[in-house]
Amino acid sequence: MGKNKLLASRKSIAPTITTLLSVILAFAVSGIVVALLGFNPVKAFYYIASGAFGNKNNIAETLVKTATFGFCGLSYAVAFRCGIFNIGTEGQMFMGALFSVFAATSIQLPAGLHMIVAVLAGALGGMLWGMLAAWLKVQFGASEVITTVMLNYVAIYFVSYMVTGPMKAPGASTPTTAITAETANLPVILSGTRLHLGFILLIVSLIAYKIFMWHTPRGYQMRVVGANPNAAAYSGINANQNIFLSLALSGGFGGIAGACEILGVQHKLIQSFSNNYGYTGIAVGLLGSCLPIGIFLSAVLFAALQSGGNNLQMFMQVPSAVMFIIQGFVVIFVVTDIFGGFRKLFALKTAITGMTASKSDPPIASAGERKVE
Amino acid sequence: MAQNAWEYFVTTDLRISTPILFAVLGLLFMERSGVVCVGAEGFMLIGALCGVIGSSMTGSAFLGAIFAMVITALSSLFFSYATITRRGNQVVIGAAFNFLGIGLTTTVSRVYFGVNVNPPKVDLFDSFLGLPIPVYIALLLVPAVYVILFKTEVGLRIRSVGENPRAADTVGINVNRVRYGTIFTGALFLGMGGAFLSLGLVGYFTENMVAGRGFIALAAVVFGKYTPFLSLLAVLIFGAGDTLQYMLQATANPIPYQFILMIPYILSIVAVSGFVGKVNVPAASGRPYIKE
Repeated sequence: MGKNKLLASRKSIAPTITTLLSVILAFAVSGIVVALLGFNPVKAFYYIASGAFGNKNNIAETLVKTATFGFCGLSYAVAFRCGIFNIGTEGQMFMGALFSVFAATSIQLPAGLHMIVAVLAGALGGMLWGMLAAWLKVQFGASEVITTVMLNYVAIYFVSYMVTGPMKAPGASTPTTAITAETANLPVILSGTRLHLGFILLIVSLIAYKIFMWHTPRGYQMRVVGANPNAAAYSGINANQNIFLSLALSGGFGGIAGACEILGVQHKLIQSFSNNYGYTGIAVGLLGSCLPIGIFLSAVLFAALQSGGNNLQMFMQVPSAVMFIIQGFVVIFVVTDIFGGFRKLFALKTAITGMTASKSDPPIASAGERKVE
Repeated sequence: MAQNAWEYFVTTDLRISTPILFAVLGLLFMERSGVVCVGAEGFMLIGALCGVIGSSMTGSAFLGAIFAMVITALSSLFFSYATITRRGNQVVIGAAFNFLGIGLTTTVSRVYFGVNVNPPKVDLFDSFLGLPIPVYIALLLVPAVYVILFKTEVGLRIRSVGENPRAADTVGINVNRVRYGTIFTGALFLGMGGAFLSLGLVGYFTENMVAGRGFIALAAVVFGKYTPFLSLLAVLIFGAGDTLQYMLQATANPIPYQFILMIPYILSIVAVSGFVGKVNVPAASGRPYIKE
């Protein structure tokens, strides 16, 4: 099956190798596209790499984006583990950013406490948006694939209304909210750069995700619902409850991604504050097989493409939109398991050497295959 | 005056509904055969760009549209290969196609047309009775698609593949070949929708110009219960909201335009939640077929 790749259940290095091969192939194909358009692909990748990792500031910028993308990837992953396709991270990010900017601009609290409140407000905003999709699914059987996509647009237009209307900063010439209070901002953790506390928060969240999903009964239940809804039902696991929780958590992480952008990077909310970051989260989660370390590494990869892409545009006049091409190919090659043959070879080897035990069996059922009763 | 306002309302509604209507008709083929195409947005972008390129190369909007349809359909083969042959998840691959669409069209248009120049003059669609000719073609295609899907054997095959691929297979229908066909056909329509956007509505290509219309088309298909006539109605209702917003912008408007723009999305959520009667989502929707 094509899903074998992202659902790789063997604890072997084979999935990692085939994933790496897929990424390399995606870069190669993108390089061919860049060459066909008349640019030097080797030079292009050099500028992407130097833009992403060339000096301290570039590395910091890459890690800044890693925080945002990592939370978006977590958002996709936590729902996916429960067999839910959350395509709505983008909208949950917008709602999170809205709640977060509200907390950061309209209330006064001491430093530190204010920041915690603003981040939690962001999580709450995303969580409510995720729970709305969960409610529609559990109560009315509405496919979350359709509702989350549609809710993205509702959220984007709602934010557009809020920043052009009720929350518009007085006297601002373009639609934007007021600047967030200094007390609410995520502090810089590497002086001279924009690297903010959100990055540490991501590391902590990834560890928490690992513990919750693989070392608690609730996490186990969620994975059973994702892996086999029928088995879950027979063993008395309440699927609806778990779906609700997974979408709430998923939305919460999306909301924190929005809060990071607001409190750590942009310090105000504008209509176009997210450049499809939520959709990038799908790629991050998939490429990382929805595993904590995988999510982190793929967030770094996409963050590097983002910050490197700007460099590319500056020095070679190659549009930074090339990043989207690479991203698209990465997802397609990884999901379609283009190197499946290699994987089988490795799986065979590991089977012989007896390395097949795994604690991390990802879900087998896809959203389309399951029905909540 | 009132007469003029009505005329303006109807023609504007038809005009802005047409690109979405083409997309909806294409999506109907795909969705009815059990293929979810979240990548409609990306395909339309490819169509929009290729329409302008084709028109500027040949000097004819008609040939530009043909070019757009062919290129979009050819690129859909990659989508088919990934989702049908390799059985990759359709939703995820579709989302990836949206990325590819944005990335490729933005890059190619900057290379082809350059940056910071006036949009090139290209041949646009001719009009008849005040509306570009493809508007009429799209409307005529609605009953045509209805007949194909519901009154012909080909349509029966397509629907059976979407409802029960196993049964279809047992009676000798090649499930994957049917889906390759519906995706190819659907992409022709999506490409035309994109080409109408650039050559019929706007007159040139701008980055990310599809701006959510692919998703509105998906919403219209769901709200239209996967049937051509109801989907046409859905498209016109969505378009009417948009038209009203344009008309009200001139006057003191009590409803912020953003809320009007939300309507299609909210209505499709309402529809898929079963508040307007049962929506018959094809049973095999989104599932790759594994022959045993």
